[in-house]
Amino acid sequence: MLTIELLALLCAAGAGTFGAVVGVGGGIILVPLLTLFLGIPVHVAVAVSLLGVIAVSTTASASYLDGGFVDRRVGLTLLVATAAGGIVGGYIAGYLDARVISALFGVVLVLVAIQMLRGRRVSGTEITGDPEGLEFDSSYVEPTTGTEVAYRARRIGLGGFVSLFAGALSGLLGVGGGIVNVPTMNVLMGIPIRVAATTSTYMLGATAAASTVLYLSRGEVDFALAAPVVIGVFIGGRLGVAFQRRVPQQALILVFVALSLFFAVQMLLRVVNG
Amino acid sequence: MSNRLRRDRPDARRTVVALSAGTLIAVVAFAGSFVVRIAAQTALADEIGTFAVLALLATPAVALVASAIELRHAQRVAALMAVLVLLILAAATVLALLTR
Repeated sequence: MLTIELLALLCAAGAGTFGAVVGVGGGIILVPLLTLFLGIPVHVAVAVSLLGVIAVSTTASASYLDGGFVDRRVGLTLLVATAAGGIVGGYIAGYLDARVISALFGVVLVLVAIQMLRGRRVSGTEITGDPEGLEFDSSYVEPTTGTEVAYRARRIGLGGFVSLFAGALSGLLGVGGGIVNVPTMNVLMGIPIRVAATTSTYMLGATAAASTVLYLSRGEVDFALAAPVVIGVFIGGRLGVAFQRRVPQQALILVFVALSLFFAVQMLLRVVNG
Repeated sequence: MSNRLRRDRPDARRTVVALSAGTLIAVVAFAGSFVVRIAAQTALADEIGTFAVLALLATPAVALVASAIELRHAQRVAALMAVLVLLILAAATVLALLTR
């Protein structure tokens, strides 16, 4: 049993490092690693992955808030939707067969791989005139240039609707939800990528907590596994941040895409083979 | 315009402290649980693990309370949203207790 815990620690550290370097969080890699290589039931893997998501979110958010990057006005507004979605995802997961969750995970892995290859990034929406309806004006200081960047967050209602889906996906699959939230804030709402990524991280902790309590009530949180996973993801996340500037990110993204597609095939094969 | 915009980021020290302290407590407890389990004290490891999970789950909620306090004057709507999220977390807990 202890061997599995030590292997889980290594898997979580690896997933946390890799996830932090490519900017997708650890859950998207950790859940397939735990289920495919360690034989952990998918519901248990999702539950401990959600604990890892909370640990990463709370650690990183403290630093991002301190740096003034998080837009709490946007984050808290969207968080209402993601937390509600988290409950929906966590609740539905209790009624879904492990094969359905594996299949969904396989499909999401393919979509994330495609999104990473596209690498779409846009700068914030410039401010012209006064905000109309539900729009927020804000700014942050870009650390690479030292200049203040002003932007207007638009389409808050539509962003909230998509965030509901992101929260449900997080609760259902044990992933951060940033894979949906970051492009939504950046592309749809016109928020600069740095603010979108940090605000998404700030939102993940409460979102994951909303669904984790449901997994906890169903007895799907394995305490023996939770400790090495949280410690591993915590250490891995910090290593990832340290490595981020030293390793060629484009090459890593290609490795991530290859790994995602490999895991997707394995998860889908698992469904077919029962 | 610049000064008006910069005021949109109220002080976040209380939230930062809540997040940092909560994470530290939870991670130290998880590490303790892991070490105790290696020493084959499974029952004690489970108890420490339960505390660690609860500490980790409570951290975002405590941070939301801190955010609501910090934002209540400068960004009332955001503070209200923080309270709304807390209510959603409370609803999740009630649902969890009812369906266990």
